Amino acid sequence: MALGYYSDLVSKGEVTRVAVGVDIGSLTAKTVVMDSNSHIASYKVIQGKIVDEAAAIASLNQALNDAHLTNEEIGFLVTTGYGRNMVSFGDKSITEISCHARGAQFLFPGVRTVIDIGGQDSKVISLNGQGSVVNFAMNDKCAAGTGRFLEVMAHALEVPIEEMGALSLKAKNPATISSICTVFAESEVISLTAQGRLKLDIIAGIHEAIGRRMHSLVNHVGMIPPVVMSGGVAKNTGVVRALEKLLGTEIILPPEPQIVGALGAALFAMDELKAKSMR
Amino acid sequence: MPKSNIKEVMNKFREVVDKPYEKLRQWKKANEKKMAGCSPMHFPEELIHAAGMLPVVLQETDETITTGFSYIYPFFCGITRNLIDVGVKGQLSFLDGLVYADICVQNRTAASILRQNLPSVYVDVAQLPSSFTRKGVMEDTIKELDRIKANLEKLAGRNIDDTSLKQSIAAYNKNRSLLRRLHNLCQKNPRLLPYRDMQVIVQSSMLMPKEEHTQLLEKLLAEMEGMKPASVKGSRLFLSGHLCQSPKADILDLIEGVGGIIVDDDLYTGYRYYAIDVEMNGSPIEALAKRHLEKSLPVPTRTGLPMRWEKYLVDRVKASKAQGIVVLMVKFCEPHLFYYPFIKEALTKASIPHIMVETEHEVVSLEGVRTRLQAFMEMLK
Repeated sequence: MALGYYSDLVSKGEVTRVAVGVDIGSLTAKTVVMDSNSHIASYKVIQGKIVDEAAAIASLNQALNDAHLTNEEIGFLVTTGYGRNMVSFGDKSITEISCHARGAQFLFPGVRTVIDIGGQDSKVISLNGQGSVVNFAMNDKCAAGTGRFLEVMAHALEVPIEEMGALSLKAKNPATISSICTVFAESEVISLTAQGRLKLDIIAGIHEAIGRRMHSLVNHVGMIPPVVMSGGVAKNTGVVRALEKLLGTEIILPPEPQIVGALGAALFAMDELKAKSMR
Repeated sequence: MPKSNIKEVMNKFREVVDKPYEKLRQWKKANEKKMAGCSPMHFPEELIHAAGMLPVVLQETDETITTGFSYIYPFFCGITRNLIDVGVKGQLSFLDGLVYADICVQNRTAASILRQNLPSVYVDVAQLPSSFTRKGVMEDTIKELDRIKANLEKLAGRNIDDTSLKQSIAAYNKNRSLLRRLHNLCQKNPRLLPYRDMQVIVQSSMLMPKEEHTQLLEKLLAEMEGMKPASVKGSRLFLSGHLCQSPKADILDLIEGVGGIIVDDDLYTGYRYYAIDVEMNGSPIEALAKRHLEKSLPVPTRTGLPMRWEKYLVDRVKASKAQGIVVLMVKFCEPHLFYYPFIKEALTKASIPHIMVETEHEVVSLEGVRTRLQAFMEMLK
């Protein structure tokens, strides 16, 4: 597959097609297939130790398969995520900032703030109420407080990452963990374990550390409710609760937070598809 | 002049910018002429020129900081740490003199460390007033310029009379006017040159003999003024910041790579360097003092300026019809950091979208910067 492949087919008038968004993150590849009625036809999240072009293609193929479609039925494909320019397929690349905003606005019209915590980056996006991005802030120096941070902590505590959220809600005396550096925070966790602190309390402390870090990022752009959270970390109830407490507002969660970026990309692909069909 | 000649001129500029100290050492050996360095921003190079020496504005190089680590705090800005590092490694010992103009605390520290570590170099700090509203500030500026002038005369072994100083001012004014012509040309026809090349042209003006630079610049302009406008698609941007050093070329390439069309700037290695001429009437020392006090562009290292920086920026952005502004912030640049909240507030109030990108001497994670810049461009559309 080469750049412009799908859009070339459409411009040749060969087919009417679906719009596809592929979000190539650092830990997962996500695909959303959208039909001509702007309905999600299928989606797929692929988890991998290293997300490369093969993982991105796998998520694309599986999503197409689930929707009983083939490559030839793609009308326009937008890539997003940190690997958006890495892959050799796709018609256009758009940043995850625009895509998360667009996806969140589609799911929750009128959203004003989107908090996205992915595998290695976190961002806060401010929208104007009509879906346009007016400001954003992104972690630019280090990946503390992201999905990878949680993975490292889960590994240090020998707790499955999926169970961390529920466990932390039972904590009575949360520990204090540094929010500055993943490596130092891991040492703190090991040292707290050695001191005999309960895993529940340590996990709650980790979630609060992420919350504090995000709180500071939210302050960069200013928070206006309604607030939507996207990205894999939104699946961790403990982080969501910690953030809600710090921000003093309810956080709205999409049914599948991991695909919001890919959904936004699919919506941008749909715009292109519609514009092409009108030409 | 065929297009290859633009390449030839640019290569000459690039040669000196890529390895400034190596090139300057070679130049000194070949010309047997004294050479005095000066710190960026406020020191009038014309004084060194009039003493018959080659003035060079110290530049940040890409060299990894090693020996310098033992002399300076890690939380000092890149150019300060870099200059101390190359200084203590002996790479600046080819200079006969080095004059610092008081810019900031970090800069002053650099001057004293270099004074101790470059025993063969005359090192001085020009205490040019930083508060412009104080009574008697003009007299103090003239007095200080006279003091420095006398020391430079001793170093050069010749007097700086009014005639030679005026000649130097004229040579500098001519170079500045040509740089402004180039700036205006690139404003009218953006992307005629990649912005990294604009930086090279200005930086080389700070390092090469002025007359030689002027000649090359005339050649370049003659060719460029006949060129067809480049076809450009993207969002118009204003570039601000980097008060005493050039932004890294990678960052400028990124901005242009994601669709930014840089239409104007207030960078030190940009408009700030050549915006204002020195008057040719009356006493030349007074004219230099006037340029420092009355004609200075807004800058956070000076107070009591006729116009505040944030207002100046808003006006310039509007005049250039830029859709947004990229603020390039040198990590640990205290004066800029101090001023940034005012700038941010003024830009927000004027509904000018802006993004701040922090840069540092060491490598910045360019992928993260690319995403932020691309998202900013998408926001402007």
